[in-house]
Amino acid sequence: MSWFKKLGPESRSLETIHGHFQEMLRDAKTVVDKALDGLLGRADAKALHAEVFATDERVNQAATAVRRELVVHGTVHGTETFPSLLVIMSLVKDAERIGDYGKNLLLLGEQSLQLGSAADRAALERLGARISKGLGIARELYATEDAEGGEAFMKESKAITAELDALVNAGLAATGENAAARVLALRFLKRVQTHASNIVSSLVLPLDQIDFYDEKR
Amino acid sequence: MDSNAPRFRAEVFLRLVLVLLLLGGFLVAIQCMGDAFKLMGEGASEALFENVKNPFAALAVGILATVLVQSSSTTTSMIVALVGSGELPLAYAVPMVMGANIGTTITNTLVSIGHVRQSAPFRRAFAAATVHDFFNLLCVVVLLPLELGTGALSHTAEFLTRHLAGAGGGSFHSPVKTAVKFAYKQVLHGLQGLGLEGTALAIAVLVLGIAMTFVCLIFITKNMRALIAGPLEAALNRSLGRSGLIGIVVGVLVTVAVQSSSITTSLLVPLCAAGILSLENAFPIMLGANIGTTVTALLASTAADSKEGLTIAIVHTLFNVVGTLIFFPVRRLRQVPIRLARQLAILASRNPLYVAGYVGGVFVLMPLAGIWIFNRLGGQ
Repeated sequence: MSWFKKLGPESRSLETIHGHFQEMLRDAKTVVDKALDGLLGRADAKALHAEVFATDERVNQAATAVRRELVVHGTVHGTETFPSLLVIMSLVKDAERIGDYGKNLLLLGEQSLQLGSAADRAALERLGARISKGLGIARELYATEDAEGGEAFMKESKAITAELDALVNAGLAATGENAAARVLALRFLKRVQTHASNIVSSLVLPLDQIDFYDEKR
Repeated sequence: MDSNAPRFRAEVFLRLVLVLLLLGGFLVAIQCMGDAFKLMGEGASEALFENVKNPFAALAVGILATVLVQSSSTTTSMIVALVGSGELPLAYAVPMVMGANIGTTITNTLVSIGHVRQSAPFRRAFAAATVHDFFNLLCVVVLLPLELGTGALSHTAEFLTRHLAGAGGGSFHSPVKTAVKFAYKQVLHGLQGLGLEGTALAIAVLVLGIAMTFVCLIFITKNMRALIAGPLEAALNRSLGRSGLIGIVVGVLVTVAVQSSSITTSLLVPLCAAGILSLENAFPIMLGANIGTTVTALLASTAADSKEGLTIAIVHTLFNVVGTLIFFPVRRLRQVPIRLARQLAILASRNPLYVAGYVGGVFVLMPLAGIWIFNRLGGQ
């Protein structure tokens, strides 16, 4: 559902806020991508620390800026754009949490732990790549307000989180070295995916049901 | 390319045309109010202002009238019309204009009461609303005695009027005024065509003038607010973290555009309540709004018959500019209204009776008592 197309001239300034939110999503994806590089040994995690934390700080600052802009917009335009403001207020939190979980993934990477067997690492690599790609798609879908693409994304997201849940459950039963760290990494990845999915759910669900996607609806 | 762009441009054009027509209507309304008393004959205005026997009573009338109409632009425009037509002496008009400045602040105080259920946001909102009240009250405390003792404001305004409107004669002419006079004559002929004459015609012209002033100002404000919503939002976003001259400029520009200081100051209340705009940063915007709102009276003076209309409009501007120069540049003085507002807001957030006492006291009881007491003193 488009929260912007149905609005009149007041939507112009809302689009500016919308643009700032997309910048937030771009930075949040950067945090996750860099953190995955550090976690999976593709780069020196400690060397990435300053860059990742600075990018996440930018995400946090953007979150507060967008909130301020929403209050100003609501004050100037009154109730006309009220539902849209509530949607963005909710989504800003999701983008901000993506940055936070990315940071957590990097901190795990900085411990230089072996995250299970080669198969476990391969699964992490594969899922990490899908999630990273998904973050870019989520931003694109949001920018183009593509509800159809949003439906497809939600289905893909459900499949990814199901796979992550299965690996987490298996990890909880495992006793090997660094099993807890592996489970933590999987949980962090699942949270990243869920927050991306919350953002996309705003394209396909009414305001009161955002975050609660049900394929059978 | 935005598919709504042509529709948006057409809407902007139509609104601009409408605003120009409304401005014309507003000036005709001022002419109506000014001429209505002349049509009533000698003694009519004396009867109207019989209860205003000294400047303090005039101040109280200014507060009460503005509280009742919830618009200082309307009150000051009426004052300009009355002064311009020679029906109201400048000596009483000056304190009335000061009273209008105080009375107009009730609007954002009422807006702040909307936050009363949440203590911290209400405290911030009430402080943001009442800092405007305290500034205006303090300005009156300082500038009214100065004006009564030396005539500083009115003499300066007269000096400026002489230079702005030319030195000769008691009246001045402009193309705007010629057009307004023409439109007014059509209105008058229309009313006469309905069979009205004498006092009935005068009352009809007065009522029409008051009604047109209200309607035109309301619709000018509504349309201008819609027209400048985007720039207004951008300006507010830019001024959130800034204080000082930028805030004053934003306040002036926004208020000149929407022709209502209440709109500007009421926009600041929710921003302060949410905590995203500090009282220190809101204060200069409010000062700018105070200055910006005086443009309405200056506009109204272009339709007035004599230079005195322009003089009282300039007094209104001077009062707000001088008040800003007194209470803004020096930090210690700037803190006086801010601290008073914060203290009152703390009390108000603890007990809503303070809110009722303050609003009822300052905006209703004080002016009513002022009219009664000072008229008795003035009458003796």
